[in-house]
Amino acid sequence: MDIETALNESEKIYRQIVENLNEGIWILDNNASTTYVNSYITQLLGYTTNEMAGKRLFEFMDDTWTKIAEEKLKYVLQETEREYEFEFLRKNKTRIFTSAHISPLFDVNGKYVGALVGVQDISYRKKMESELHDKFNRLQMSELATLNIMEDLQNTIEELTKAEIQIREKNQELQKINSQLTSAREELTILNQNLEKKVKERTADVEKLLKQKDEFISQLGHDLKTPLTPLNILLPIVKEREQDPQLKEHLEVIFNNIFYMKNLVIKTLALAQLNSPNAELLLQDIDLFIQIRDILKMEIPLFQGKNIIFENNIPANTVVQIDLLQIRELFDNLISNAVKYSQEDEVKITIDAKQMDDFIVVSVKDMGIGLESDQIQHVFDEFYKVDNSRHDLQSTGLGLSICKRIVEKHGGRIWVESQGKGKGSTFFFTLKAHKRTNGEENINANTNELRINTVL
Amino acid sequence: MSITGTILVVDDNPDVINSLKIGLEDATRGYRILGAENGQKCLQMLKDNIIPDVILLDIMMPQMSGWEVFDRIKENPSWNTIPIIFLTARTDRIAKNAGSFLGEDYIEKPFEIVDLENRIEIVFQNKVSKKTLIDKK
Repeated sequence: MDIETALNESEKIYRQIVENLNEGIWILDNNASTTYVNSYITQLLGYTTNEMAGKRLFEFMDDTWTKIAEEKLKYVLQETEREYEFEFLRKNKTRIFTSAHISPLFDVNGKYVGALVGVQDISYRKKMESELHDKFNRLQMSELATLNIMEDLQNTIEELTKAEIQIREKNQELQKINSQLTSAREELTILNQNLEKKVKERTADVEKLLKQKDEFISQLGHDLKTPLTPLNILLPIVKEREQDPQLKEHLEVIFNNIFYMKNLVIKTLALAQLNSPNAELLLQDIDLFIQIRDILKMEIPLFQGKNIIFENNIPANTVVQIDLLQIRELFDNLISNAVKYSQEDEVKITIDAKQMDDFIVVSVKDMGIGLESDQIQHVFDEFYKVDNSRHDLQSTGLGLSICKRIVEKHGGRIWVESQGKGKGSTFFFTLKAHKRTNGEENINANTNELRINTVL
Repeated sequence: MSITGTILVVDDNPDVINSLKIGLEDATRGYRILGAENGQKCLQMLKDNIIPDVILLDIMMPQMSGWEVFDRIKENPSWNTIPIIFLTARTDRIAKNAGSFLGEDYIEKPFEIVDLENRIEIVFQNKVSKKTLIDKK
């Protein structure tokens, strides 16, 4: 084979190699005009070989990249090989990132005649790079965020630590307060005990005083009643026996005043007794019918001079729970009032009793001077007298107060009804009934022996 | 009908004894009234066989109280049938209850003479009835 053929063969081989390289080969002259591009390049940029032949490298770039490429090409002349990154513009105006390996070309004399540019599509790499960059940025941001979070956490931890310290301090304060409270409570307990002791002492004092008061009243009662006894016996006798009319008049005055004083002493002391908390009731089951019968028997002789008719309408076997002595006093007062405030010389007093559930309602009715509504309001007040004159020696004004206290002590109620002046009055009061069961013996055995020795 | 009877009044207040003598003396009734100023004098009279038909006994007396006198009288079989009416000026319950629970009668000072007369009458009538019953047997 001759040299030419050998050269042609060689050229063909090299051409094939160059053509089919999986890398772009772009040969430029010393003016950067394209003298050769391989199919990689044409396919990459979308131009044909003819379209690219003779065009400068920069014609396939935008202005920005042109400047960069021009600059880089200058370095090539310093006889070194460099790897650069260029962005080309395709025919369809899209961009493509490449890596360009530029090697300067020299002729046999060493003169610069152009450059060989090895081009690689690095769009994938670029994309990867971009993605990596993004990822890196994100990571950085993430790191920053994490750092922020950590800083926040750190701050939070510091604050929590501070808070914990404060809580500890507060806790100590609370414990201090707690122990103060405990000692305060102990003090209070002691104070309370002292107070209770004082209260007990005071109560004992008060009870002692009350007892002294009761004893005083009892003693006073005795001392007042003692001189009244002979007075009360002798005065009526003297008054009766005195013939001289003037002296008789004086005696009348004396007698009336002694009489009044006697009633006042008896009634005031009775009221004081009733008001004393120490006064206990002695409750017995009493047949009211029999009791009233006995009382009326006793009352009649005391009202000499007046013609009195007592009507005992209480049903038989009306049994009540009462303190016998106090109920006698109650009836004494009511009956004496009925007689005192009668209109004519003939007095009719009707006593009745009705059962209402657990109570017996007793009524004492008279045909006397009666009561107006304004009088009814005050009739049970202490020292109230219907004629409003406190000079009336016949009346102490205490009788009905005593009745009220007695009834209330028995857990009952007392009230009065009247149709008005001249129409009489009826006094009502309630007493607790006793439920009589079968087989109960005669419970009046007590009554019969008490006070009244009945004729056998 | 009035009954003759002897009444013994035992009271430390001489005015009470005297006024009762005047108050109870009544020609129609013919009561005989004796007085004793203290418990000892009363008991002495009983020992001297002066037995009244009823004793009016004051409770509040300085040396010997009415209760004591009462106990002494009741202890003695010859005296314990004599009826006793307590005279009391005490307002407390104890006296009243004791009076009623002891089965004797009592009357509160200052009493109405009429009241006392009634009680004495009843006592005398009871005595007569008892006596009549016993005699009939």
